[in-house]
Amino acid sequence: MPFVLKLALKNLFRHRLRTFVSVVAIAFSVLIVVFAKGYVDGLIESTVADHIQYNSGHIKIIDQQYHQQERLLPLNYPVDGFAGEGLDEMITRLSALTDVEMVIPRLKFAALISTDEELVTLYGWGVNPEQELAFTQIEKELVEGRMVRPGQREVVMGSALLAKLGLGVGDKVTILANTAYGSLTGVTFTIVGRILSSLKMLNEFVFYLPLDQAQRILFMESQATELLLVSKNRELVPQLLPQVKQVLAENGAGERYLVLGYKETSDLIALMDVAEVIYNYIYVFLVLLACIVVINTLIMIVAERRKEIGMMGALGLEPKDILLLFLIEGGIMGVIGSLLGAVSGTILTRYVAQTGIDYTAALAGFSEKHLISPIIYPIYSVENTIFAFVLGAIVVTIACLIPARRAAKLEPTEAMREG
Amino acid sequence: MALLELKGVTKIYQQGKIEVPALRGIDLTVEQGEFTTIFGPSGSGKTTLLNMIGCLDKPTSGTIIFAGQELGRLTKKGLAQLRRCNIGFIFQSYNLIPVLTAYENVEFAIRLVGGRSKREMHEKVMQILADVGLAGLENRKPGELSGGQKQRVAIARALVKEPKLVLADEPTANLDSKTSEEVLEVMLKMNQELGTTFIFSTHDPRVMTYARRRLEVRDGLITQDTRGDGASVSH
Amino acid sequence: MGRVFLTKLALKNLLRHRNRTLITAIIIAFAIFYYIFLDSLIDGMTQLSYQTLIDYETGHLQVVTASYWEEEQELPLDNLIGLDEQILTAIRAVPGYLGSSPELAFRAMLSNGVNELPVVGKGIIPDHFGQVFAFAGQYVDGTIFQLGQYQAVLGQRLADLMQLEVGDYITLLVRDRNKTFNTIDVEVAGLVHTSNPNVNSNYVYLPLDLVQQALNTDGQVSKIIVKLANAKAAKRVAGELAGVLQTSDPRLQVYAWDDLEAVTVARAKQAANGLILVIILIIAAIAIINTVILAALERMGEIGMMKALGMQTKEVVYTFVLESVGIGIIGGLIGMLLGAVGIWALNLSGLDYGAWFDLDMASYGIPIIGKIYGAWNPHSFVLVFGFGVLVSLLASILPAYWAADKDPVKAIYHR
Repeated sequence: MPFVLKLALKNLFRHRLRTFVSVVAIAFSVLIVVFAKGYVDGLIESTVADHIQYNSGHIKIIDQQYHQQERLLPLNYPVDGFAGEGLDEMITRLSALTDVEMVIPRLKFAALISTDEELVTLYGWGVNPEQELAFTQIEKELVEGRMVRPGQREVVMGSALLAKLGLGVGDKVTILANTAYGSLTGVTFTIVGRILSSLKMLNEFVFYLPLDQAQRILFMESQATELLLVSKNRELVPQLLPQVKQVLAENGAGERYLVLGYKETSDLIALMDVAEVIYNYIYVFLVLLACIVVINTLIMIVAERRKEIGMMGALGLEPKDILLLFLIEGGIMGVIGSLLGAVSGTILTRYVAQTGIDYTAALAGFSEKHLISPIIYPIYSVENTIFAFVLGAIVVTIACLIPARRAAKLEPTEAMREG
Repeated sequence: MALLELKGVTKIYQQGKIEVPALRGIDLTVEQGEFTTIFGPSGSGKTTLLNMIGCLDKPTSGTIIFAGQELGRLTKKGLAQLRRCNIGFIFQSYNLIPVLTAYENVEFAIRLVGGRSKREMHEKVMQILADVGLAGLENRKPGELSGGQKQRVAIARALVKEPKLVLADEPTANLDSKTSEEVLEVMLKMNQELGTTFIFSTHDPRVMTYARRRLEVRDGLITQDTRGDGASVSH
Repeated sequence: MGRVFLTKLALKNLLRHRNRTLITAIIIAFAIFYYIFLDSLIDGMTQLSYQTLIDYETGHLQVVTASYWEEEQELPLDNLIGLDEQILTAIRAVPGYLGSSPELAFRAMLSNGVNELPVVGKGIIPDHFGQVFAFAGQYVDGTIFQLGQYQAVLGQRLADLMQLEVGDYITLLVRDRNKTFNTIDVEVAGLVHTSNPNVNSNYVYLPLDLVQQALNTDGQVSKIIVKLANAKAAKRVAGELAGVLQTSDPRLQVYAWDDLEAVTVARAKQAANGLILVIILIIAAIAIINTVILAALERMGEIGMMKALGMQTKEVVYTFVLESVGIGIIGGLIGMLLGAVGIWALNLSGLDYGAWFDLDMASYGIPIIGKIYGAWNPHSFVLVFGFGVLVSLLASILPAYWAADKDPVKAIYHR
């Protein structure tokens, strides 16, 4: 009934100040919702992206036994192909799967560097440089020099690690490691690049070297400690997992290797999924708090307009129309407030998305093994803006049922009351 | 057939634990085309009686028959529909919607009835506003009108849907005597031209003189029923 | 006009609109509840992690050289302290002394013959160690070693990872004071499982004499850890002891357990916590402003009448502000009540992080295992209550002036 809509609209301007305060309350809470959602998205996205890039790929294939002792980075449970055929053949067969874009072998091992002062423990990552450049952010984080080249005795290290060692790009460094046979070996490398990463792991603990070099010095020809599968996007993981498992089973390695989706290798991502659900309830709660302002206002407006509502009833307007009238009045406040909040929240999110929020100090106590970037960039997305807007508009309108029912329950005899 | 018939109507309000009888047995018949006033002191049950006649409320006991329909059998929704088409209201404090123009306030009532085309409705509203003497003031809001003008809008609103009955609660209480007379002249004119039944309550003795039938209410009973020709029927 | 009268009026106005008062107060109540509850939880977490630190790592006091303390992360082998009788006597003489344990900590690569893992080794004197730390009863298998024996105690989790059992032999690769590589070969004598995750998976305990020999440290230790009868006295005792010790060795310093920066995450959480509190309080402030405006609009005629009778603007403002403060107090009381009930409910069973998520809290900088209980913090109750009332007061001032400044004549004919 457009007449009721028109009337509700005009009524809003009757109490401009009150309407304004209500709209501000809604707008503020919706703004917070947009921003908080963008922030949480940013947090999750960066955590998931770092985890995928530097730990798990979309799917990670490792030895069953390796899984138990991953913290030790043991070399005696490698991924070395099917029935001794070697790694390359295995990579070829996995690459044949339609959804697999890249198969990335990595050889991760513990190593030591002895300085005058102390014994520095660190992790060596033997990699195919061009694959890493294509798959990870490492190119952006290489602030000096270049990535290692296959066949060369070269390493790339994090800035904090280099500072600890008192070395720089161009220097030589001798790295000690236990080989797959348990003997200690020492090899001298040239440092060709420096990484500056917000990840503690990359900045302080890791050095990159060419995969072939790592295989050679550790006596692990044609082996890796893990194989990462990369798909077009991570949503494909659930459908890709069984295919990969089938390939392994067909080649008689179904028992030996573990195939893990990226979510299975991080307890943090599971935690964040739970947190996201909890946050969604918190958003509703925030909007409900703002609704209290609207409800208070409308209850008073209903009280003020008792006679008018009675008159409309006397003229034959049914209670459901009166209910509708006030629902529309509250709903318009909800829509306008939510719109303002959603727009300003989006602007705020986009602004902070440029600058980021730095938690470096707060996360100092975190272990390097959590790939958490301390600088969080909220993600702006249309979905969040729409979500917050719809949430605000709907919750406010529903909340207005309380005062609207009060109005609808008024008797038409109110019109005849004196005073 | 009488337009309205009340038989043994009582109304008791519950105020906490105390029962307050507002009407204590009213018998009344109103014919089509009457121009009747109800008067009596404050607290006499006058407003309650108007509520009953206007189908705003149901009696505690007794029957009310309006245009052949027994009100006791109707639901609230049924009552609303009955009022929508058949009864117009004029209130002491006008009760116009302040955010709407004079035209829109009148339009509000006719829209509720429905069943007419937009053009018909528009013509009807313009016509009735002209009839009550408000031609040219259609686009003013209540805040921009004088008391008498506001009450004319209210009369137009009551009459626009061509109801069988118009009920006016102290229509002149907030007006000076000259304006009061003007308003009553308008009501009388409409009564004569359209044959609409008018029932109005008042305190003002001069207003009463316009009525052709005068009902006095005291302590929840009709104590006097005087016709314009002077004949008196005691109850 | 008398303040008492105005106060009474404000009180009566509060009761006049019980629903509105209550609904607005609820927002403040939620903000306060939220803060109190989370503050208690974080504080409980902090206390628990301090306790696990005191019981298994730091004791109440740590006697070290100031230069060692600065580089403690690196566990250097210089700036050590000798176990002079003079120093030990001074330590034993502190009020509330229960025991002291010297410790020589060092970095090592632990090897089981197949794999290696960097760990922290600690040379200790078993008898003294038992007086200070709560290891008794925490042995899952085996027991503590004696001085002079080639034996070690380590955490069960570390042992599981390295696939070690009591009786197995381990090798620790170390660098001694002269940066020369050396190895310590010992037998696993005991496995412990404690509420301190560091002890469970990072530390290997060895006889002090053995370690001193391997590291070439001439009978010196990294620190002496002291246990006191009264934890609260630690800071004071530390100051006194430092004074005494510095007369014999000026390099020495004494650090109490509460000097430790134990829980970094707790501080980050507290910041986030404060932010949400601010958000809710802003909404509460809007609600208060709204309430004042509504009350003022409703009472336009009344205000006009009062002003016509000669009431001053500031007196009108006073009644409105007081009314809002009343809402703040009601909200604060409800919030504190909810908070207290919340903490009480939490403490009925305790919060078991491990049961919810398979998370190693230690890697997030919170060295705790097991259940978390909320702490009772009277000062946080008082603080946040005062904050809520203050917000109510500040938020009401402007709209109260707006209401009180209306022209009395217009106000009377407001409608």
